[in-house]
Amino acid sequence: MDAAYLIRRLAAILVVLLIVSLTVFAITQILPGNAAVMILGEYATDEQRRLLELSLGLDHPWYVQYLRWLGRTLSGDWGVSMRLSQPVTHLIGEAFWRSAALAAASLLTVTVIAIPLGVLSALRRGGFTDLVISFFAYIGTALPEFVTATLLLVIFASPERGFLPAGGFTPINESVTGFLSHLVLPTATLSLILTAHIARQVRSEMSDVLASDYVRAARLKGLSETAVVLRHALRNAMAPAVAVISLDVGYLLGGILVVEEVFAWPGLGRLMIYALQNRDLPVIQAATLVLAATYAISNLVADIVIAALDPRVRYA
Amino acid sequence: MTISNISRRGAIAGLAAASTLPAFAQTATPKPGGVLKISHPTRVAQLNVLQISGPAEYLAMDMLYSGLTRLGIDMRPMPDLATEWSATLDAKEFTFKLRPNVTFHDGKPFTSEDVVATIRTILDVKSNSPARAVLSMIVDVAAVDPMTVKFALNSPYADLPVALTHANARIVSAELLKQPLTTLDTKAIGTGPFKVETYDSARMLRLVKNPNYYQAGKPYLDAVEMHLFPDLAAESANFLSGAMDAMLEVQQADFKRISSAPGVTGQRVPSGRFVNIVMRQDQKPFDDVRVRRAMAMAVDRSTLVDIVLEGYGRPAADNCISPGYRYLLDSPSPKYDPAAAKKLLAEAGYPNGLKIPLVCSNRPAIRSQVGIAVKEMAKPAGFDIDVQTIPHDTYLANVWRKGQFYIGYWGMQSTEDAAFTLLFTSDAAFADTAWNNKKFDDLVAKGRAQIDDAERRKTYDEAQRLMMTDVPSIIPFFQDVLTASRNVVKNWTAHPLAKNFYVENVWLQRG
Repeated sequence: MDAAYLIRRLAAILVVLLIVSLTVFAITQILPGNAAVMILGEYATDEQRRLLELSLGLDHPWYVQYLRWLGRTLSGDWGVSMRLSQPVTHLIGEAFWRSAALAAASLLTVTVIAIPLGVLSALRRGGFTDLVISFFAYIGTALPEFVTATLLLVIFASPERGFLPAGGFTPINESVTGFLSHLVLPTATLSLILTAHIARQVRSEMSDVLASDYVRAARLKGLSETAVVLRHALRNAMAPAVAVISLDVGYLLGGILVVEEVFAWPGLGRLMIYALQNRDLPVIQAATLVLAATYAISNLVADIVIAALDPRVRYA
Repeated sequence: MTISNISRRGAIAGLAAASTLPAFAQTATPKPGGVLKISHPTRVAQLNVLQISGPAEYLAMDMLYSGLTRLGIDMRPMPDLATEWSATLDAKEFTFKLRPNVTFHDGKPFTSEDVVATIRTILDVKSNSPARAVLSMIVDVAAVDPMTVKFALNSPYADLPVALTHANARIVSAELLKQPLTTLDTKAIGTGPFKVETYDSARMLRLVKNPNYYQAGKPYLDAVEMHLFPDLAAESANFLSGAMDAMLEVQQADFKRISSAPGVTGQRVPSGRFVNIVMRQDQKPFDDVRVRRAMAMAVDRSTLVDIVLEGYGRPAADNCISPGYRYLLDSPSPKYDPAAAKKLLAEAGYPNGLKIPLVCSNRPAIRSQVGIAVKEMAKPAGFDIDVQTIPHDTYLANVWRKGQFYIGYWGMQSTEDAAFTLLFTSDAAFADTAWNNKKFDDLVAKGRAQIDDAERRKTYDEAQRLMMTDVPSIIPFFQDVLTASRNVVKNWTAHPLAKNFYVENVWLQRG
């Protein structure tokens, strides 16, 4: 991989983000109503609404609004939320780190659990262990987050057994145990589907690799089974798994919307839902950009990791 | 002459009037200290007391700010920052005596200057304050001396002390009002029992005790935390497990389960909140009163109370005045009679029935629930209703005050006058039915100027009768306010308007 490739990819990401921002802006313009209508609700006169539209700059044509937004964004200013009266950078920043903590905990859990499960399943292919793992993997992929979340709430946060909080958030600098206890259920919900998905992927790749000629050759060389699995098979099976994980980041971002709402986790997903409900355009724009950038960058990182794992992958 | 000069009336004294409230251990001595945790499903999106409009925001502002007057549980004004008031005989000039030695959260003394600045800001259209609609008769507010304020009105208005209890008419420091109005969105300087410590609209609002609150010894609590739970399942699980002490709002469907849980007390307070089915009268077919009456007869109100409100409400009679107000006209609600409705509809020129779309917003969900139920109920009467549920922003932009047949949702007002002038007079702030009835307008104006209680009742009786016979819109039921608290919480009080909470009286009996 060379620097030119990296620059090309980053430039492409910028173009995508520009298109995304324009599309989001256009869609919000097609819909009737605006933030002023939503803020004032039913207790507003036309005069009040007009004045608020004026103060929010909603009286200008959409392209003027967009270009102004773009100009501000390029100078690093995302403006002020129309509904929450706080700087968008502050709102997004805070929410982003909270979501990132949740996503990181989920990815870590998935990596620690899903890859060994997939490997184990492949090694015991057709056996009882494989059957049990496959069974749970199928169930895991079939359950939507809101079902998993509700089940976990009932099992672990019911009044009788309530050893975990049913939702909420404690910042880590206030209390580490508080932060962690609130993290458990949303992480478990997000991890379940991903674990199932990735374990199945690893199992399938691993099974192919274990049946390949070079693994047979390695075994014939007299290498121990551990060495065969870890050094030869796993490394080759991992590249496709990383590709799947990077695609799952996209899923994770979508899943976070649901999970954050259910468990009252004050992250980017919930901010986004709130902004959409209230037609808070600056926040919708910024949150969409952050989500799109996260997705694009995770794909780029995955490509780099895959290249490192599999030297046959060439970048042109 | 003095209209009302009430002796100090605590919120607890007012409680006795509301029979559905649980009996409190009145003999127990309040214990100071502790942190009260309250859950709520909607954000505190801003701290600007002049603009707030959400349930959780009302609670927060009731703790942070005081008004000149405050609405008691009995719907009468009680002294707050004003200790007494009087009016001239024609009810066009009011004088308020202010409470001495009150300070704002920043330590500055409260004076008449703050009242003048606040009222003037509310009356300025740029402040976007909902309180403007109920205080628009004020033409001048002036400080007579640091502890006296005088209001001049352009028309007689006996209810001014009640109107000043409006949730958006609380007194803000004049200092703060000198800054751009957006400063109020994130900064609160009031004279209330609590002051802001942490404000994170996505998570929690933490308020701490104001040691200089004017009621000596109150508040009892050290702090109040308001935690946001957008998901109802998570909210009730947190409350039932004891992580939260009180739930601000309980949904009808959950009320029975939650209030019967061990260690929990539910409160159900009759309120004047209603859903109204708007029938625009400047267009066919609703320009014909027979069609409106037929529609009113085609709605089975007690069934709506049972299925939509799960029993937590009462049938209404297309009259916006509910039992919580002082001057309710006692009358039965229209009988569900689809056969008679069908006949009336035929008389109005629709012998083969009437096909019509009914538009509902998706927020709150109760609107489309009513729409769907009414569709079925009105079928035998010959109404073929097509229920269209649309997103709330589309509803606000395209349907509200423009549509022909749609469902509105309104909170309870503090006075009869406010309720009438909200939707039904010709010049109503939100006149969405286009009901221009000169006689009704005159009655409302007459009632507004009447100081004599019995005379006023007569006038309001007539106004209500007119509304019920002319059916400007269908008001099928009044919805109760539902809340719940754990038994360790003492004096947690729900108010019919859901805008006053008296948290300074709340104390905790833990362990």
